Amino acid sequence: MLTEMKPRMDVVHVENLPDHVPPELVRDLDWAFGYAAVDYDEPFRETERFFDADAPRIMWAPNAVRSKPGLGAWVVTHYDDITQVYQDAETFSTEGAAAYQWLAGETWPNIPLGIDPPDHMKYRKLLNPFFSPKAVDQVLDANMRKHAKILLQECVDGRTSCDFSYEFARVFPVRVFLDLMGFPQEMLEQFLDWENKILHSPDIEVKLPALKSILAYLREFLATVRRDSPDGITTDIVNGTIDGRPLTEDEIMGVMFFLWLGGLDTVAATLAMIFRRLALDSEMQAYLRNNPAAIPDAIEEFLRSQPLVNSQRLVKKDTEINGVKVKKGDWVLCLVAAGNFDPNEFSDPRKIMLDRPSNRHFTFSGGPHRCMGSHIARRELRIALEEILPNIPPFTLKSDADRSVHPGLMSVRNLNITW
Amino acid sequence: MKIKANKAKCSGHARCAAVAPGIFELDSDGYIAPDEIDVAPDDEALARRGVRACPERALEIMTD
Repeated sequence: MLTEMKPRMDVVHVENLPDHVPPELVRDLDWAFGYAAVDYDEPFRETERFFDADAPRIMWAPNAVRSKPGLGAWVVTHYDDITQVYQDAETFSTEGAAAYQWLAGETWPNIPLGIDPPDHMKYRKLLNPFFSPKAVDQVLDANMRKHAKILLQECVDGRTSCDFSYEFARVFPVRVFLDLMGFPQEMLEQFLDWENKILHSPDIEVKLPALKSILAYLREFLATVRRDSPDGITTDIVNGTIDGRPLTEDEIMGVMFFLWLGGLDTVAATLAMIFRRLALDSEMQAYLRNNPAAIPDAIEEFLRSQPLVNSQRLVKKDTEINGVKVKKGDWVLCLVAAGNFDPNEFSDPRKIMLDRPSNRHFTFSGGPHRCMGSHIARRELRIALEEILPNIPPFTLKSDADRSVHPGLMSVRNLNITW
Repeated sequence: MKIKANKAKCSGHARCAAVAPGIFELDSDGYIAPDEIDVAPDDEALARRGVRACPERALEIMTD
């Protein structure tokens, strides 16, 4: 049995609270950040608590910024307020976002995520064409289907069960990413090991060697790209220009490291949660089997109801969010795990409605920093469902299967299904 | 029916083009290309769906 963290909403006392933070808005919201596994059918159900009458729309939580426990940050829970923060990227800055490399003494930002407007768009212009819907249709789709088919055969041929999360979801998006970037397929396990240590290990002695290894690997890889100029995105990055000048070494590393971080486990986590849901709900599974044309809309609903990333922002000038004064230097966490269930935006928000009309969720963030890989992610999810459902008989969780799930990026480690 | 596209707000979600194919033209980056779109009477229902799909509220139906 998993330890249950109660969705508490009571006011807590914090030492050294900044003067501008009203003490009545301070709450311990650790239960809402996806740090602990749950075993509910609906992993995100507890964020319903944010829409009760006694829950302020904006709160101050001591541990809202994971890398800075105790620092304290605003937690924004409602759809309209998240829209404000995401769209106003000048006031709500992404400075230092996911900058793990700083731990290794590097000083460059992640690009484009860690760059504020107006410079941000210059880098997006350079990279967007590789990640656009057109690139997905014309360049990437065929390779995604090829990888999905091969991997699926390994999971089903002569078998009546598999660990879907470990064997398929974990591997499929990485194989696609390795080809996209021109990395050798043999790096798959090594990349995932480094990434897992960098993102999820609390121990700096574990994090730092992994970080140094990937940075050294990327620098060596870039040297071969410069020498051989292979077709593809990395050659275009190495030869990229902004404002009519070539990218600097640091800028190239900023792009490469950021793509590496973003390319590995988000689709895997989403796919594992989708298949967990389908294994638990035979009606939903039958609906998609019988209506393959409904898959794209269904994917939007899966994305809405299982958001992985709650983005944080650094406030650059004093402002207000729904009447609450927010000061320069404060951190803000956009709790998409709540906002995607805001009843003012989504009717019957806790119901999984695979044909939900108008589904403007924040799972890929919003505003200028909208996830650059969103079109790739959507297509990978669609291809996985289109290729798998006709080729595996109706499946369920194995009777002794672990049902635990992290409502966030760590998602489902093992998903033992049987058919 | 006319639709006005606020290009400054468009963030390239491309949901309009996904739910209403053939109505919302995207540029090579995947962002909305035209500033204004004339919608044929037969396409109006679909175009409205495209407008409603925009997470940034960058599309607006102009009333005549």
